[in-house]
Amino acid sequence: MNGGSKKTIINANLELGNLFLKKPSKKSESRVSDALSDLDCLKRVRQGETDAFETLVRRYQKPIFNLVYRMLGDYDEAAEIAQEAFLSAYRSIGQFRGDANFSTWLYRIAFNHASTRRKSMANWQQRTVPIDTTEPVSDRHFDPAETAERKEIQERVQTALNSLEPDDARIILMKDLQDMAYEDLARTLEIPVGTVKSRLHRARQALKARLAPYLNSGRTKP
Amino acid sequence: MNCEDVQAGLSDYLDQSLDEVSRKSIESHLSSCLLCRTDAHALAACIREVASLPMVDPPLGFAQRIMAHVREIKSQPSVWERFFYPLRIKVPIHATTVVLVGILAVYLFETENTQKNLLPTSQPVASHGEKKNTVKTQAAENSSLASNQSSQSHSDRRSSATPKQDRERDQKSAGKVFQPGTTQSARHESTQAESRRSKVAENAIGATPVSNEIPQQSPQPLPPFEPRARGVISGTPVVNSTMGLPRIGAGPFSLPFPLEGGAFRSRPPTLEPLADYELIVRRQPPQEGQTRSDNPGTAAAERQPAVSGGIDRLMEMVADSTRPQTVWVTLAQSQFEQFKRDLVSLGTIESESATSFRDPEFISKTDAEILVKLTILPMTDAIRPSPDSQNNR
Repeated sequence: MNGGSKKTIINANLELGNLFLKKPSKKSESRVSDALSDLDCLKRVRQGETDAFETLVRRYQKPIFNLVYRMLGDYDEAAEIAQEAFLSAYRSIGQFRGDANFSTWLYRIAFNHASTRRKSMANWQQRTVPIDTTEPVSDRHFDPAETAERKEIQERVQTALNSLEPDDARIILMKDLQDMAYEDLARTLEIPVGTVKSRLHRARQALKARLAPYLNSGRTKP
Repeated sequence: MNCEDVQAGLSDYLDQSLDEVSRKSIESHLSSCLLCRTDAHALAACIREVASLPMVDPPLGFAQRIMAHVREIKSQPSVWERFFYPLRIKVPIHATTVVLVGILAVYLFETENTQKNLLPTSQPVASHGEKKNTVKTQAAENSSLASNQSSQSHSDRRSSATPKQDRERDQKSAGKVFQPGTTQSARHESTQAESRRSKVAENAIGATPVSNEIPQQSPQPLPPFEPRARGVISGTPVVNSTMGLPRIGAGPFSLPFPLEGGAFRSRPPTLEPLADYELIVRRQPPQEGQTRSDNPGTAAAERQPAVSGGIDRLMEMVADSTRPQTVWVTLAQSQFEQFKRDLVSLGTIESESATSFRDPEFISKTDAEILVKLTILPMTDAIRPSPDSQNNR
């Protein structure tokens, strides 16, 4: 498991967005002003500088989009919901009190939109997980058989995530996919850290029950 | 530590969030318990598989689309702005509209006033030639009507006159201008005309020379006319339409001032010309040495008339002293006072009222042509005023 290095970054950066700035794209590098913190950007947005909000969008678009995408399992739906989440954040940016991180507030908005969409989708559990052509192919494991096997496993994981309760799926995605710290989860979910641990354990047990038939126990090495 | 305790802490153990003691206790249990170790491996596999899910890039232009919507939202007015936004546009438009309507109203009002000041005759007083033409036209229009409804005293003469002769007579009578300061030549002309008038009525007008000269104004400035209040009229009311009234302007005598003819009262009052002054004159019995009522032409010839016999013709037109009669006289403003003095020979002015809607100052300054409505009432002992006619006034 490679969560140790990520956790170090999380502990060093309470701002969730900084977690994903370690691999910024070249395009975003030229547009995003890394020197500005989230609060500075928010202050400028409130003063009418629309470009400051663009900085925030470029900073958080990938984690927000992936969270939504993994919760919904649909790329187009995820793009639409993530866009709605950002627009909702912009419309209600005056209501952001600043007592929490902007990323926490933004994740909450995105999760609420994704949960609403999941509930409105009648057959979302039967939804076929599309083959994600945008996923990068690792050069180290460029083995067609292994790649196909991993694709199948990813589809199973996605299907299992879709079958979970939204809260369970969210806490798993935020902890295991986004590598958020317990403290950040507690702030985002507005629950104590102990409750975060218990909910996370329960959610993982539910996911394990769904993935157990497909998982090779020999591959797991704690 | 039993299996339940290990299962409860297994998630924290995999996250490496346990303290050292708890972690060693779980590790010792897992090394001895195959079931718990299997569960730990399965749970670790789940975490790893979720963590190994690739991070998907958002669609191309994702941020641009969001920002486009953001700018669109920003350009939209807020609720407060939406409430007042129309006012920012509408208030100037409404204000401009009100100002333009006001300007238009003032312009129309001024235009209307100008037109009223020019009514009923729009020609300035200096253009006496044009005035004469106006009188000539009106006299020609009324010549045929006057020939049928003239007084009994003129019926014989008028019956022999053709329309052409009437027109010529009207033209020449209208061409005579009023000269307050009568010169010797004018007096001579007037004497000639009156003498001819006494001989042959049809040729009397033709003998009157037509003067196109602008009348000489009195060297002394005329006193400004002070109009009385409207409605201050006493005396017998105006005659009704059933009365056959004579017409001024079609008679055989020359007129010292142009008289407006055709003013029969057969028209409803609303169609009457709007007079500038209304005079009500009560006939009086002839004074000593004054035989005008019986023979006005002779009386005018005897005295030195200031109006060159115009009042004589007027008296001839209204010779029927048993009925009230109304005539309309057109003359210049400067001639009005002289005209009133000449009316003394006809009777006493019981009432004088200014009914003009025009500006008196404008009339007096420009010496504009005025229209005088002259109501001649019979002598008191000749006619008894009825209450109905009193109310009509």
